[in-house]
Amino acid sequence: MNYQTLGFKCGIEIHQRLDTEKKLFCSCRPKFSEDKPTKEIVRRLRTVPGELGEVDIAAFHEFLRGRKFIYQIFDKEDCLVETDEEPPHEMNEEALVLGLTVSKMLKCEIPDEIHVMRKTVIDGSNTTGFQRTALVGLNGKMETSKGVVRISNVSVEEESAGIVSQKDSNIVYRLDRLGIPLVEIGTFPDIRDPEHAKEVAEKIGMLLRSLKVQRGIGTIRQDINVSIREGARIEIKGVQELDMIPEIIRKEVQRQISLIELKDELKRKKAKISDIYDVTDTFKETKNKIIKNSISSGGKVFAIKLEAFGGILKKELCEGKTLGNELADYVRAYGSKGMIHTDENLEKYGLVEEFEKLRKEMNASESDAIVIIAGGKEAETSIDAVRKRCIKLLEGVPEETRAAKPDGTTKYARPLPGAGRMYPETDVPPISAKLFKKIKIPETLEKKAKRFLKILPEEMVEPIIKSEYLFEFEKLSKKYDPVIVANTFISIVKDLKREGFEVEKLNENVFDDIFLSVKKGKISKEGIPEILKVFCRNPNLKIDDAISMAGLKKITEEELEKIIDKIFKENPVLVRQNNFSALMGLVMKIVRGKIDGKLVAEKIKKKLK
Amino acid sequence: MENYSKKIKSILKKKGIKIGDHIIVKKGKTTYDGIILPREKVGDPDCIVLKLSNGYNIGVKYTKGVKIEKSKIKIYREISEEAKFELGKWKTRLKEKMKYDPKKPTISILHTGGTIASRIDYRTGAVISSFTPEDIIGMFPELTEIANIRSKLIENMWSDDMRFANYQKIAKEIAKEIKRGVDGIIVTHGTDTLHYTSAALSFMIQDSPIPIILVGAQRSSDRPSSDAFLNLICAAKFIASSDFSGVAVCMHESSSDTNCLILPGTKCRKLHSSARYAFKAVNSRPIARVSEDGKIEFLVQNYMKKDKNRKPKIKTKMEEKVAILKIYTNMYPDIFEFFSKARYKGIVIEGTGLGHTPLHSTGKETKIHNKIKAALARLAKKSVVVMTTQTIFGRVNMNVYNKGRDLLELGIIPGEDMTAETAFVKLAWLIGNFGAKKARELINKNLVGEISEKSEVL
Repeated sequence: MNYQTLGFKCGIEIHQRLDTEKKLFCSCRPKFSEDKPTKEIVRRLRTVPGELGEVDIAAFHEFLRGRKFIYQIFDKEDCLVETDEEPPHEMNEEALVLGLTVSKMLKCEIPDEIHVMRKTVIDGSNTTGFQRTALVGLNGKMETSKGVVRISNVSVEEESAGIVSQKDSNIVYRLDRLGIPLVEIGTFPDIRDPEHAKEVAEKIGMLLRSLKVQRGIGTIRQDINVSIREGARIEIKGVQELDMIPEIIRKEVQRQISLIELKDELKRKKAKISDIYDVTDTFKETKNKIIKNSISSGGKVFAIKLEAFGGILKKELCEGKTLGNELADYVRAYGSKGMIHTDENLEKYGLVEEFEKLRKEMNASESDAIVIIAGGKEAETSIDAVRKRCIKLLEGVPEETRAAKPDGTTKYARPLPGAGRMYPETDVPPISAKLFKKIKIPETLEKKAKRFLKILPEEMVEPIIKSEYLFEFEKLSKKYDPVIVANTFISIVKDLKREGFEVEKLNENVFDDIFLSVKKGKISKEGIPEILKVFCRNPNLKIDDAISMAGLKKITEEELEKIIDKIFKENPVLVRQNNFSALMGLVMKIVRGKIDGKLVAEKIKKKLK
Repeated sequence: MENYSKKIKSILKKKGIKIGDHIIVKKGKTTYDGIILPREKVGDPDCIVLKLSNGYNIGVKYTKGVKIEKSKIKIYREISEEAKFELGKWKTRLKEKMKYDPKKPTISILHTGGTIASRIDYRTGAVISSFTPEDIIGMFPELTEIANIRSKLIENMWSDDMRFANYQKIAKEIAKEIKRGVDGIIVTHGTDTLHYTSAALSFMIQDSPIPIILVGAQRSSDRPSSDAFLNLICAAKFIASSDFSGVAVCMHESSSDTNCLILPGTKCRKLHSSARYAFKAVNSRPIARVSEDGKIEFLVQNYMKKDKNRKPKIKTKMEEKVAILKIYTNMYPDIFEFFSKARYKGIVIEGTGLGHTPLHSTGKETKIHNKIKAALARLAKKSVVVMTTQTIFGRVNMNVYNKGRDLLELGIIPGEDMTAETAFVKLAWLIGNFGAKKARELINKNLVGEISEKSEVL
């Protein structure tokens, strides 16, 4: 596919959690809690007129859903700032410096004065109803294999609360995540094609990893903005895996192409969308359980006629998504469980007769389609949403925010928010960037890799650069053998994790003590896995105790020779066969970790001669 | 434009640029493009605050060589057709809702300012007073389901600036509304001194035929999480569907948006600087609990009942020369002498514990306390001096320790279980309307529920 001729436009936004001591606007611990919540509060949010006097469409939309938010509170991770019972404290300087460092690395201009803003977020993921965010860099750029990509903004902002569960209109959030500092990096729509988007995301990710940022699943997220000529700007939220980016973009482009073609087809066929009908009476005698139940509990059945839509609802917009699926996403977004339409297998629902009757009543021919939704109040809002969406089919692609699904397709999430959703955070005074003029740019990972080539074999460089122990490696490789240190982090620790050891409990001091013991000859490097296992079980042990617990006290050369003598005596056949490797194996079984393997080999070879 | 430096002001004036204009600022190689906003007092007055098209604000420092021009392009997207349509529909619905319905009670909302019904126009920096009935209904459309709403702005001030004269103004406006025959009154008010005002109104308007409920907010109404919504709605529901009359306060019970408490006007206090649940009943039970869905649960039985035929007794005079004096350690006599010299007519002492002050000399370090005793004696002779306690909760009892008995001997009157704030307002009201002699007599007698003989086990 030629993306240039399609008028392809694409930019990405990257959100990365920072690894700071405190949260962005209070002194709470910026981590996920391992404990149970100690309290719960119940809140509601309302829509308010935006800064520029217009009612924010996105905010208004969410408000219509009339939701109740239940917030779980954690002792160490929450205070009155998270519960919105106290104004924010001053902005965390550590996070601000990290944000400014990112700005400098991306060659951004830094504003003379930084203003904290409130970005309206009314889905309940912020107790305040807004996210605090500050622009710390603009108009930057980065080099890529396909040319320069310009950076539109670098912002420092608060992480939202994590969703726990959702049942009907009640949503439960946990407040430990709320307020963790994030840096957001946005590019201009300079991305050339789907693969290029992945490259840009990867490059920014690498750059971020050279700073103090949190690592692991969920600590970095991508949002993608895509449009094509005659299409519209679509914001795709919450992409967690880099490898999915090209697939998601390809499917979105295909969806927009299909919608544009569909518009022409519908125009040609003179398609029309009817008003909403109450067709409850038609379904009074139905045997379909869902509809029957919903009518008997006071609900209604609503229908719309889609003239000249016959067969179209079955059409695939992109791989894995029909127009019918697409419309059903709106139904769910507005609170109903689903819809039924004439392009489906109606026998499956036991509704063939009812729909035949309905066709007659609504004066619909075979070339028309009918959509119905059954239920309470939400069914009326949902059918209205479907109707409005169908009207927009005649215009092409509507602007909206969509959510990424695991198969690379996307679903409708909410309308695209306007600039009106930002207004100043009057509780935090503006910050002069003059204070931060002296920020140093850290070494990029590319430069680091080049430097590591001098101390490590080539195949170890990339794994250690990508390792979450990069910082520890940098420090410890200055004091100890870099190969041993690197091998410990990229292979031994990984293996132990796979075997189920809690390697998260190992801190830098533990590694320092172990490497020191190897250097001093107290233990051999082969003993590292064993001693790490001991520390995983009890991270507070003293190194000498750990060594004896692991049975790793180093043996002397004489002791080794005695062991070798014993093995030779016990295995005369192997000795006669001159079977070095079998003998080596038997000796190592006894002395592994207690003496250097090289020495063992030497001694055995000598004795065999 | 007031918080910009002279330099910037003169440039803007020369170029004919006003706040809210779209401007272009050229600084070195960079061009900033945005709407110029008013400055806050804090920060650098030489920084021009710009709203960029992505919604963010930044400050661009004016230095030599910076060029500022007015732009001819409007950078904001016009409000979309869809949004216009929705907005229009919403406004029509509001208008329908606002039609007078004779079946519903009528509530007058009197605004005095504060956090609750104000919002900032970020373009001009001015506080917009959203006080017309349309504004109020626009912000709180549910109110129309409860009652017909009248709305009037009588003050627009932070509660810290309230003076006795403002209490009198509010009381007079309430009297007018009572005369008009409305079914209840809501007074919106800043929270910092809301409990002073609720006490003052309790004394000024006695035997009110209808409920008068003071409502504040700890989060302004221009925030999606504002507590104003629930506080106002609960107050309206309480007025519309209970038989209560008299002055009370309606605020959040807890951190959750589930219940509000109706608190007695003379027996409550702000007890947290920022939380929604700041207001608590002091030495009393709350009057009632109102839940989000309108359920009312009375927590006391003996309250004054609504009776639209009853004539209120209105007395609004206040003595200006009344003060509160907080007791602390290491005090000097001059503090006490000041009030005598300045001819204060009434003093409420916020004493320690059961109602004490530094008074006795136990060695050379405390010799100065003899002088404090003399100063207190003079003060109590010239003015009405009432003792309350800084423990906030609990009753004053000056018979337990020598200290208290000595203070009683000096002529200091124990204020029973009144809060210092209520005692202060009551003292000013008593002296103002009946003179010092009568005030001495009535200050520790219950008039409107401010003193309870019984200390409830809560």
